[in-house]
Amino acid sequence: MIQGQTLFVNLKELREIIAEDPRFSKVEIEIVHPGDNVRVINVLDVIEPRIKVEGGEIFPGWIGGTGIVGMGKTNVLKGVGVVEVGLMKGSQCGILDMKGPGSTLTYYSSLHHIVLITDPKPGIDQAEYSYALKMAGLKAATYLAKASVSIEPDELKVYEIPPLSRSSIKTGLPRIAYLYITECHEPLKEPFIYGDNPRRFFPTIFHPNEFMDGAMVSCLYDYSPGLKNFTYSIMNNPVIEGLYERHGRELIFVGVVVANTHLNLEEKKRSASMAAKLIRFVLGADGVLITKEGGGHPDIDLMECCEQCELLGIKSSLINCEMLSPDGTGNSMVAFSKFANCIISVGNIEEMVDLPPVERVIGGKEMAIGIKGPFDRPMRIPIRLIPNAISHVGFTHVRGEEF
Amino acid sequence: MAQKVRVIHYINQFFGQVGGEEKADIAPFSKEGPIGPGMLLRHLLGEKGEVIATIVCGDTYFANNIEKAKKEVLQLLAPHKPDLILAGPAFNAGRYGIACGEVCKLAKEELGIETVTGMYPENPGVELCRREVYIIETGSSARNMTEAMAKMVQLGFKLAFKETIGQPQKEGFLPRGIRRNTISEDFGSERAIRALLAKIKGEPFSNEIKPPLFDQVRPAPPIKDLSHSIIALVTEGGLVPKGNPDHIESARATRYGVYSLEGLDRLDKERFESIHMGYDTTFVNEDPNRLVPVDVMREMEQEGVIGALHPYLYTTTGVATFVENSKKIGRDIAKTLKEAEVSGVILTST
Repeated sequence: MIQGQTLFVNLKELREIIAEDPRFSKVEIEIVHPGDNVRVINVLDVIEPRIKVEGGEIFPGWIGGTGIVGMGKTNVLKGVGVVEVGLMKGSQCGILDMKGPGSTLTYYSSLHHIVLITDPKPGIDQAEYSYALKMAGLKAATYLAKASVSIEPDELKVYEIPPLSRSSIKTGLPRIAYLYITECHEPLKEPFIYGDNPRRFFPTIFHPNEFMDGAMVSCLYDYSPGLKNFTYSIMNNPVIEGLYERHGRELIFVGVVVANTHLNLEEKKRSASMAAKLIRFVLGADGVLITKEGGGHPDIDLMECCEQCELLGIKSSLINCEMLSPDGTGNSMVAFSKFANCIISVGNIEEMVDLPPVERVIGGKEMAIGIKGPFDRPMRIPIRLIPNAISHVGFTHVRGEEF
Repeated sequence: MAQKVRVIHYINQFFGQVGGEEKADIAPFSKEGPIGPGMLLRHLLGEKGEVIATIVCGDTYFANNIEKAKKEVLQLLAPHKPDLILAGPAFNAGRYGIACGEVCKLAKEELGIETVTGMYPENPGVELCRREVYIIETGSSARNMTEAMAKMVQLGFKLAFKETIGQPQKEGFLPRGIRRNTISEDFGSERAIRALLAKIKGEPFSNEIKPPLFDQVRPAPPIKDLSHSIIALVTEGGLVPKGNPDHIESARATRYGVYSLEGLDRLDKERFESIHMGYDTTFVNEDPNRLVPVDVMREMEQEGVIGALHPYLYTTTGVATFVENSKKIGRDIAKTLKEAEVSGVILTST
């Protein structure tokens, strides 16, 4: 229920909905607010509550059917997040402080969170647990957003770009595409597209609105929080938002191409050239913004894509993190193309951050990544453990600079 | 700091008012108080600092006797117990720049004293010490003395008072190749979009990451006679004895393990496992020989195809590893293999 600006949550009902899943042995729900003296550990994903109120589906392949998404009306609970927390052994999980220096580094500390703390039933393997977690997060996100269905929104935003055939009218504005390179491999390392694993995916054109309705959700549980795009940042992709804001004024936003990060060089090259072809000859773009996910070898995909686009005459700008030593020395990337002359840095993932003690810790007694508790003490952690303090889609104010 | 910052000023024979090129071979000496540009320095330091001594050395002397000159300068510096060394500025004078750089490096390394110098970006002294020393960017000649010295003093005070040092452009020093995270006003996505639009318009655009410097490695010449060669197995696939006795990291490795292959005809899945975090290890854990082909190598050894299999396996995890660590691990392994007269290596990557 929503009264004025306040969301009231029936925790008992929500808990029952989540605990229905036989793959969980425990479900607890906590609520944390910005400024609370609280540290949430074992953070695996953050999702924004959304629900479809008219025309189309939301979270296709999970909550909604695999129908058309990215059209109609979607209600969004701004300022609210659903946090998936779980002890996924050996996996890479995050530490989210709601107060203090850690909270200044990530957007997620500014949200009111409904935190789902779960344990898997004995015998449920990690892959199965990861799907249960994702379903729980998405169920909670739609459950919460349901409270908005009958009320007037505070703000109405229209996201519309004309179909290509009509956007080809000469405007004199540069035509800009967005190439989103995801990283999908085996379970625990799989963002899902329309409910499916896109491991063998060929580059495809997406309407930017598909992202907003959850056509892609993150199941990258075995990735450092600084190396993956959280579902929240995929739904609120700031590249897409930024291109929309300028659409028709400074540029023409011609669409998104999604490509996967592949495992061998031939596949990487094939994917890059196919993506560049779509961007140049189908979308007719003059410029492309390219982002990646993951750590070292995805640099090769980023560079191959940049090179193939530039070779076809498409100007490119890239966003990347830097994988330096904690002291800021070393090489930022593991691959490089001489065509990559415009790269925006979202920071060195290994730089250390000092977190002060907190009053309360939520999310368990131990951490999956081998950091020893107690966790209410002062902690010194690499910035990559703070969810999306480093964000490959640029959903962060952190940047790497030379000193 | 209630006490004044104790500053030592390092200058060459010309600014030390000893003489020009003809006096460039004089050995270092120290004098109390400021000399030459030190007068300006005294003025700029004001109430907060004091030039306690000036060290003067001939440029040629320093350049021709670097190790000796360094020792001598160190001996002159140490007794003063300075808080800060300011060297030069050397502008575009090459030998002077090298001397300033060396003196600053030395003071920092040996005595832990904060240092600042000043140089024109093309001064050869810059490349020598830019990583270790704060170098204020100056014009090419002494005409820019006041501005250069003012910036040196400003940065010097910040270092002496242990204040936070700002960005190179703000403080006026040459970037040192050290990267730090800062907070930008805008999201990264906004900067990327702005840069792209500027690039398309042909305007100047930002590029926040410079090309990495990759080493070029010349491949070793081919092995002439395999049947008399020792071949080693090295992997970054994270294969370790079960239980990972040496605690090799699953990612971001800082070390490697060395494990005996003596008496093994193949790698047993009961005894070896992969702890690598970057790939699906199911198949490797089912049959470790498919990552490290000991079974095939033993057959080849039997058949005389290769002379012998080197008796140790070298293993680490290659995933999100810092390049510096990778280099160190690689160097160490290569050195060991070389000493063991290994002439070929099969490197299996994942």
